[in-house]
Amino acid sequence: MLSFADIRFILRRNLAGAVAAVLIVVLMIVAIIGPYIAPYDPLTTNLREVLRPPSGAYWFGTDHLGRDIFSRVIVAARLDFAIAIVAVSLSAIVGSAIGALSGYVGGWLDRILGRVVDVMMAFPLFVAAMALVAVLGNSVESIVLATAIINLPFYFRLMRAEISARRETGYVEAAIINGNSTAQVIFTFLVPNSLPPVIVQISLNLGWAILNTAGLAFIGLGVAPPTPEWGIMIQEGASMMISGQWWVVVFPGLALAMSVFCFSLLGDAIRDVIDPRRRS
Amino acid sequence: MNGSLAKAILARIWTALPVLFGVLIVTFVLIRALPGDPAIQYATSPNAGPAEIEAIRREMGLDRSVFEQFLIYLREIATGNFGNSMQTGRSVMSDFATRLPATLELAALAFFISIVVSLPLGIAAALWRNTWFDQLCRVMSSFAAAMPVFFFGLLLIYFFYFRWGIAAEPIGRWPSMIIPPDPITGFATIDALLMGDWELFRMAFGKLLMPAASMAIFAVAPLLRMMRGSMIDSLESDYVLAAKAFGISRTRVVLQYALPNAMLPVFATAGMVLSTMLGANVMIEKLFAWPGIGAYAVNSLIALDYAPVQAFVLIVAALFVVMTLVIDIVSAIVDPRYKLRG
Repeated sequence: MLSFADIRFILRRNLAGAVAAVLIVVLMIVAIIGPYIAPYDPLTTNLREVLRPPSGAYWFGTDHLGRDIFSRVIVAARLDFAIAIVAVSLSAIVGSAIGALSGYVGGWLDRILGRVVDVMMAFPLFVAAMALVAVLGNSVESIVLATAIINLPFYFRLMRAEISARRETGYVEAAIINGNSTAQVIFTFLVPNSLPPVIVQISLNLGWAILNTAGLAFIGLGVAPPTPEWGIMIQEGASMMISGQWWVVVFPGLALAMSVFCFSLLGDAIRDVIDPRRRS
Repeated sequence: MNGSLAKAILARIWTALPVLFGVLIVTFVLIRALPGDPAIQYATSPNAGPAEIEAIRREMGLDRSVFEQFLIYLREIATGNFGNSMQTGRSVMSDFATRLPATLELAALAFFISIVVSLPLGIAAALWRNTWFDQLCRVMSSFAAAMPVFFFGLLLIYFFYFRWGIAAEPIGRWPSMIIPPDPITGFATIDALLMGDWELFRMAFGKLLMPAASMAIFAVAPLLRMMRGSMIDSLESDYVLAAKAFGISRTRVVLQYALPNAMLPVFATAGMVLSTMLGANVMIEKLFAWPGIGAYAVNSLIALDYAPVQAFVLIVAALFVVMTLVIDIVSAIVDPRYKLRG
């Protein structure tokens, strides 16, 4: 696991990563307290204040129903982050556990699971997410589950490779001789030692998951209006881009792009520390 | 081509078969797991009578075992029968046939743009490693990777259409005031050229540019990074050192020795990017009201019209598998060091 000293090391070596980490903390805080600090109710329409450009009263302007875009952008952070965090945790835990088992046991189980994952990887991520949402129904829960499922193969492959490389090492042999059960060997000796690349993957995946959620919402799947969500806000503002009301799209778009950007920078920074050979 | 290579290629094709079979099982399960009665989805019209639906159910074998149903499904796929779209009232196959050229044309131009932008930048970043230019490329590719394609498309629309008025109206494939010509190949630009109509070609190409540029953005980052990394490996290799030691000029070393050897991983990445593009174009087609298969699939999905969705998922996944296979085989033929995954 990352210790405090490691984190200090990352921050000293990689300024971009440090800035990203700080921004992520800020975004997380916004996601948590967003509804309490929003100056307006994100759902209240005000037909006398329709499509106002950014001003002192409305920092990010108002949309076609007179809703305050600043309030909607900061309230939306909670939903987008929550979906991403729950989905990625699910897929990291389940994917790593199955991958660890597959890599440790080997044999026919490993071959079958490997084939299943190959088939899963044959579907481009966004298309797979669309298909899963079709099966599971058009709801937020489906988006979470679909995002978790499409990301499973990454964790499976990572953990499987790590575990099968470590299976024959001395400390594992020692653990077995000491009378640990198979589950104990896997989860108390092998998995903790294989975690670093998984952490990099989680950071990168959180960004993709946010992007994926917003993309699905943009094409009309998952989160439904009038819920404040970045993808929906961009979709609602799309037609106003042609008539020049840029602020309806630009602010949620920047929030979305910035979140994804921060998670990928953080992932790169962590990788720099964990695996110096793969520095980008 | 020698015997052992041919054997390795056959073995590689053999490993792709279970994956293709798995894809078929998944799409089979998909349509049966979907809410609603598959027989109704295969019916010719939404108001088909109970007698007709009963007949379709028997014809599809829905009264038989799952295993038999799967065999029937395979037979239908083999004969190109993907059912009917409730929205258009036509067979999914013919709907796809009319829409596929629009998608391919868009993806091809987007792919071309991303190659033209990212490969020279990647090569330059590798040659001037750790300079300000390299840093700039790094920052740019990180931005491009984080940029949602639909947001980028909207920014292009704002600046190039609304602000500067130099782009075509971002809706559909043809300007609204003209009657689209009868398709010959279905590719708007090629059709215009075949007709020898330059004005028409200019219009068709103008309509293509903005959606293609938006789609290209997400391919830039992986291609640029791969080109840079692979070029750096190549420049640091022993054969480049040897070439330098022989006193060969820097230009020749780069173009004749380093670059060709750096292309293989880039080629593999490019293939993956192209097949991802065919699936991920959904958002761009939706944004630009582009009449391709992506927009068709997602509109069907939202209208709970599942036969086109199933066909789309099957076709894209099959394409993905075949593409990976072709990339692997071509890589093995081009480069003897390449190990086929078997």
